[in-house]
Amino acid sequence: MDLSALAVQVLAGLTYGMLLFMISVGLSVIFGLMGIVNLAHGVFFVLGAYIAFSVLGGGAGFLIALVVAMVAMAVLGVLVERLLLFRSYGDELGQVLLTFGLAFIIADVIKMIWGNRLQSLPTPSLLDFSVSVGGITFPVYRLVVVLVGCLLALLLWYLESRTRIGAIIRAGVDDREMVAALGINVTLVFAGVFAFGAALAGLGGVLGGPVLGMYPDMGFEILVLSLIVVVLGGLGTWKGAFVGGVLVGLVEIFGQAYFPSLSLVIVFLLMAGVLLVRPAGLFGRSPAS
Amino acid sequence: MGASDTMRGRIGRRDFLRLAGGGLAGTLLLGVAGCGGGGGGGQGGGSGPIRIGALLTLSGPYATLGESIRNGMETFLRLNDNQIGGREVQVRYEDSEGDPQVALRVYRQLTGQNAVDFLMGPVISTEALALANRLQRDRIILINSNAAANDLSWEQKSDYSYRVSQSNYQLGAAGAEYIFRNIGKTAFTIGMDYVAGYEVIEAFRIAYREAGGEVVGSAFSAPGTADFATYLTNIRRAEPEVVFSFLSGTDAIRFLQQYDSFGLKGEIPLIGHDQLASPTVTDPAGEAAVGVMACSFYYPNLENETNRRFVEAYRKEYDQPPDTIACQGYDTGNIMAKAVEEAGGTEPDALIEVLKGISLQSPRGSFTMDPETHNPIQNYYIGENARDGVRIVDTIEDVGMPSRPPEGYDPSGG
Repeated sequence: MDLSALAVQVLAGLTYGMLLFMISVGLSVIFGLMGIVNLAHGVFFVLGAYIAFSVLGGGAGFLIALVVAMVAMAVLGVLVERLLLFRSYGDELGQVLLTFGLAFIIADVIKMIWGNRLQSLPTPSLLDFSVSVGGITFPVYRLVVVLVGCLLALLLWYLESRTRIGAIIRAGVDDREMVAALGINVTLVFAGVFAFGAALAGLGGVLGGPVLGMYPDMGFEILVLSLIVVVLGGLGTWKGAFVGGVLVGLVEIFGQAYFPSLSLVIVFLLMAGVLLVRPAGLFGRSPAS
Repeated sequence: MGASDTMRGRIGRRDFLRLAGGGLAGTLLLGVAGCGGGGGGGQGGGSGPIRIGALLTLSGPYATLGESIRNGMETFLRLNDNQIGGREVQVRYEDSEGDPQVALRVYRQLTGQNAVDFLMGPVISTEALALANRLQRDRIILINSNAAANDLSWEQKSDYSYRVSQSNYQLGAAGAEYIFRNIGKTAFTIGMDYVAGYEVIEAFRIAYREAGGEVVGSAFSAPGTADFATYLTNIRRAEPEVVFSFLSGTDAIRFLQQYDSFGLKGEIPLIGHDQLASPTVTDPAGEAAVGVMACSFYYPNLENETNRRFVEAYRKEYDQPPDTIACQGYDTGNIMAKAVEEAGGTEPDALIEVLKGISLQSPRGSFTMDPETHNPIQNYYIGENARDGVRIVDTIEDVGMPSRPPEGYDPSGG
């Protein structure tokens, strides 16, 4: 295997990893902060892509479609959190049933509106070309996805370490009751985080549209991968989602290329391996501390 | 045997739901056709309705295939006043879920209490192979609407089973010589990493080599592959003159798009089986599909009277053009009608006699059932995707399959 093929695989793995990062970060922070495993998070990713599909079909540009999809997902996120989920805080089984049921309902609604077939978003024409460097050819659009992922990581780093809201969330992940006792409006923070996480899932869905396409049941597939990312990276941290996403993305791509028959289990092997060494995930803090 | 008897008595939740809700037609049939000519294979000349058991994959990832077959079959019946040989037709559709075990259970449901004159289906080859040796024992004639495994025409061939679709051998070999003469002398093949993928790609390799070509590289991708970057890089490095693909559904769409976005489309011609020109793939793939070629026995814009009527009726009912699978569904009914007419009834031995070598007017043009392989000898058409549909570029006439595995045939992917 020569270097150019290796480079393409690394880039492909990074692209995939960034999409996984975008969906997983919401899942991870929502879980870390609110203790909710939102099993409907995967369909947010897919629904975002479908909404962008319809907006694009109406003649709007890619950027507008992206913003509309993200806003729609944020609104949906708030509605889900405020109208449904808040009833089930502390009731884990209830949350699982509720969010999983919601995922099925949304997937069926997608089937009703957009049909069962795989659809995909057109690559924005401005980015629809490929570059050749040193014998390898790579689509520019995917490089942009990687760039957006890195910018998002930078933004999250800034939000977490340099802003008040970041401090609240960090504190909330560690001790929810204490934060509430300090007079912080936890309700608002929860709704905000949920909306932000859903919007990022939508972002991933739309950016992934030209690369992966979308079909109604895709939400469940992507959910499994993003749960692996979250477990691998550690709960409640964007760093975990970032590193976990990149790792899973790379392992998926290399696994499919070199061990196609193992491609279904290889990420699980990775997860099992990491958990053996670090039971709380790469960036997770162990419950004892 | 013991296990199968216990399975018979068990009615799962799905069966219950299907009976209660979805399978309205099926339950009605149960009531109407309750008393027949006794159990298991008691068919005969008779003048009552013609009963057909349809064993199709109607849920799960292959559901769209089962639905297309049903739609094609229903279109045939609509166009023929729901009659075969002057007798009313009753079809009972059951979901085999793509699972050989379920298929066996459904088979028993369909052929047990209510004797059927024909069985149709299945979508998946493992299901067809699971049924193969039962057909003879129960004297049930199967019109195979889709399952393409080569062995159904070789080792597992049965007097009671006739295929109206195509074999994996044809899927791979049909266009090979044309590709060598007109497109490229060296090829890279990519197929899905499962049994059918290996059979198709191996058939292509043998036929292409026979024509004088050389396969300079090959890849097998896992079904559901999201990213073809690695394969695309390997293709570029192998520098073939043409790429032959056997990818379906989601994989085909993603491959087409990435083939384009990695800049290969303008450089190396890409040709595949019917999927690469099917609207289910080309619509979502959009501009990336334009210029890509396919080798298929059916396109909705083929010019013949049967097809014109078929497409019109199909569009009217389902609001989309039929694909190859729907054509197979149509011909499932088509061949039953012709056989009953020629045999003068539904007596199995008489049907078997006429089915071998029977000729049909199909939406795909006319075709003949090869008496050696029980598989169609049919035309294949080279199509090229244009913005407004598929342009038919050339015709390869009377393509069959060998009656036994050819010298050197080894579909193990080695």
